[in-house]
Amino acid sequence: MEAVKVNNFSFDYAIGNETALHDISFTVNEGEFIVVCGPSGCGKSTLLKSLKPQLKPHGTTRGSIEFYGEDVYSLPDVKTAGEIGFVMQNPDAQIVTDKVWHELAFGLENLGVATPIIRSRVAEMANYFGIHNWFRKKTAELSGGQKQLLNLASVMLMQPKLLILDEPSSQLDPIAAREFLENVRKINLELGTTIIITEHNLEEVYGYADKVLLMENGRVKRYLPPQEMAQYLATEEHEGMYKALPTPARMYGSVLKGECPLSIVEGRSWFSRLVDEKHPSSPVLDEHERPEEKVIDVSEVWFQYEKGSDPVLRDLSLSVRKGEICSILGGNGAGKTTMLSVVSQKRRYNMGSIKISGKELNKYKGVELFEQNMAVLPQNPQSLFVFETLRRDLEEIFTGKKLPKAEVEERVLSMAKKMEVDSLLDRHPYDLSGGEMQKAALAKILLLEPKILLLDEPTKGMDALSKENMGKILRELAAEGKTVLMVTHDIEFCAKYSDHCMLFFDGYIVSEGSPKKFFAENSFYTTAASRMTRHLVQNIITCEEGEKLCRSLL
Amino acid sequence: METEKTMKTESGLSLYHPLVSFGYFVAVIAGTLLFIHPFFVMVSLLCAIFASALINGKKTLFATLGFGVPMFIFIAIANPLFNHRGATILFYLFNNPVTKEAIIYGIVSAGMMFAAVIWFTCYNTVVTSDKFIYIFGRILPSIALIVSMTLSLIPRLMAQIKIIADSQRSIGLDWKSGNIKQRVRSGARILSILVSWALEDAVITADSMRARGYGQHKRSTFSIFRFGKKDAKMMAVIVFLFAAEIFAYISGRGTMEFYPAMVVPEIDLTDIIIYILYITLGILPSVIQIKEDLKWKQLK
Repeated sequence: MEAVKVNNFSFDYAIGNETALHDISFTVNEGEFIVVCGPSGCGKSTLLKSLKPQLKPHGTTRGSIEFYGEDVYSLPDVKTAGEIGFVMQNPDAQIVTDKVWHELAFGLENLGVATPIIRSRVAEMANYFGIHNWFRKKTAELSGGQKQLLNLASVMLMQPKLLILDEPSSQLDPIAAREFLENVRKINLELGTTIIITEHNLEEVYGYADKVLLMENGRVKRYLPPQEMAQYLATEEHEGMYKALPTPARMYGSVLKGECPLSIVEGRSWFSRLVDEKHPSSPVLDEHERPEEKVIDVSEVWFQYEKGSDPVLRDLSLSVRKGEICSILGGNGAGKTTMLSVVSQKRRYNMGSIKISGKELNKYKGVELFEQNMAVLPQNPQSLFVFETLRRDLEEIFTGKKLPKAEVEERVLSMAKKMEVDSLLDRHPYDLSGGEMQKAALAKILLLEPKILLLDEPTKGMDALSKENMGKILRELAAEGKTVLMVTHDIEFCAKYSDHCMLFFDGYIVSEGSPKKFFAENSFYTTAASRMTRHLVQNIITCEEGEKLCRSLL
Repeated sequence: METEKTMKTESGLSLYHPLVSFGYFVAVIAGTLLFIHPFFVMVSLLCAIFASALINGKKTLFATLGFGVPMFIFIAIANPLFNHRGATILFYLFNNPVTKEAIIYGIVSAGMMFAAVIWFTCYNTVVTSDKFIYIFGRILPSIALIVSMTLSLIPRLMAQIKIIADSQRSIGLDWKSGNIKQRVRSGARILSILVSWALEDAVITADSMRARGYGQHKRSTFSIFRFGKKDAKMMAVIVFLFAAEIFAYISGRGTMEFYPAMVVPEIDLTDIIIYILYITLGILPSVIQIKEDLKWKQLK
């Protein structure tokens, strides 16, 4: 049964003469899981919104979209509101009401469903998603992951036949993101709901797909099952999309032998067959000496949110050396972000000492700490921007510094070039994509010429290419002698770009080392490439190393 | 502390349907405010203190008393000082007569206000904001939705203000330091960013509402509260007691003359029945609470 049939669909925005979608045709069968991918600005979002009449952007359309054989735009509103579910990116702004139970009931209330029916459906759904434990809570008290799960459950309560998700996990940390996507898969497998989803990061969702739709410049480039798509992406010039593939598929793509694996389990057996009788040697771990100079020196620090509460930092000691990129990994709610706020003077610690560039943190008065010394890249970069163009926002850093205008422009331009945002200078900061905004924010704080950079989850919401750019930029900064301390869940990013990794657990650093040593020794908290190869070859950490190894086995 | 509080709010009268608990407080607070009569005021005050000890816990009760007793004394003293009506002059203060009637009226009206304050603290614990919105929403559903949306928006905006203030501080613009002019400027920036952010979010919220069918059909109003048999019984009791109260008021039994001279009315059988019913109304939440506590003790 065809759930969705798109016939030669084109779309032009009412404002601007650019055609957003060209001649799109594809069909989705009932119960299928479809992943839509493509570079930023390829029209993914416009396509998804066009499938839901209530969210269709203003503009003119040609061709048609059929939903179970009927034109989707001529169906009654009440039908499409319920039967086509849509989950958006922003977990907070999608929530309408103040109580979890009210939010769940909101959609059914809108359709005028009677209370007893709402009651039983809400109960069912709360149980299905494990929401019953926080059913009576206020929505404002939920974590990001819980909020997005609530958004999903609220949509599912209306019993949609088709569920559309537009980058639903991009504002969640990787652990919450994985849980969320597992729930989406569960819906697909257990309820038979048809899924159409876009994601920046294909690592998780790619393996769930029945088919992958690749878009480029508003057109459908390919519509293939995931294995064939991996093969296509490996052979064609699609660097950005190829890099977004999960590690097993990329390792396969480097040699194109046998059947394309999508999960770690498949990857392991695929790798075993590839190795076969050959005996590849494990690369040797080369240990670098860490630089001497301690730029951030935390020793035996304790922190509690209030008197008598559970200490979040217990006897925490760590040091970050000059010119290093240092990553701190660890579970959710472990206190990593708290640690950053203690180091950046947002919160005062109770005991111990913290030295920044050799000076006691308590001795920094007012905003002294942030004057050409430390800069923090916030998790929500939009909180940095005030003006209507990015250029004015960047120039603002120099107000009161009495520099000639030409020099200010010059410095802004060179920084924008360095961060690859020079083409975006005249755009409104809020119109930038997640990755672009992150880079623009970095440009802004780097104009302050800090020696130390604190980053909280810098790759959140970034696609593979943006991540790579970010990594390169950080490496350049480190080469200039700047010190970077980042808190992240992104194991792959951390393995590829940092000099030193630490595992944060129970309020202090339990283990640390160079990424190679760190991830080679960990058996659970490690990269996909390591998990795929470690039964035969030791010390393979990054995907690139894995690809190299595979090629050497041919 | 949090658990202690939730434990207390989820017992006794709180376990009844919002209409029942709301109805109870309407009855008891109306009685308190209507009957300016020494006996009724005393009953209401004692019952309120007792109920508050059980419903709010001793700590909150002491806090209320700490504020209420001085208020009580102030009103009780202020009335005879400024009100010189009454036939029985006891003495002169600064050439002004102080009358017995004014003193008694002062004490009675102070007691009445004190009792009302304590009943309101109990009301706050039992009829939480979501229960109030629910009752309100039965009358004006669209307003109730707006209240609910506002209540979800406020904590979000507060969180965003904090995020913005923190990130502005880290680029050297701290609203807590510098001179007044700099501080005002930093504060204005925070607001400006907050507004753009909130507008961005509002577009998404509107989409989310439309996507879930808002505005396409007549809405129904869902609530998690159910009206059961025990609610019906309790409601009947409360309605009966409230009716008795109104009868007493209309027939003039709950009030007495203070000025010019106090008239102590004759007490007949109907009066005695009304007194008993009024005491019943006052001790009702305490009885419910104690009955429940005893059951818990038996279960242990």
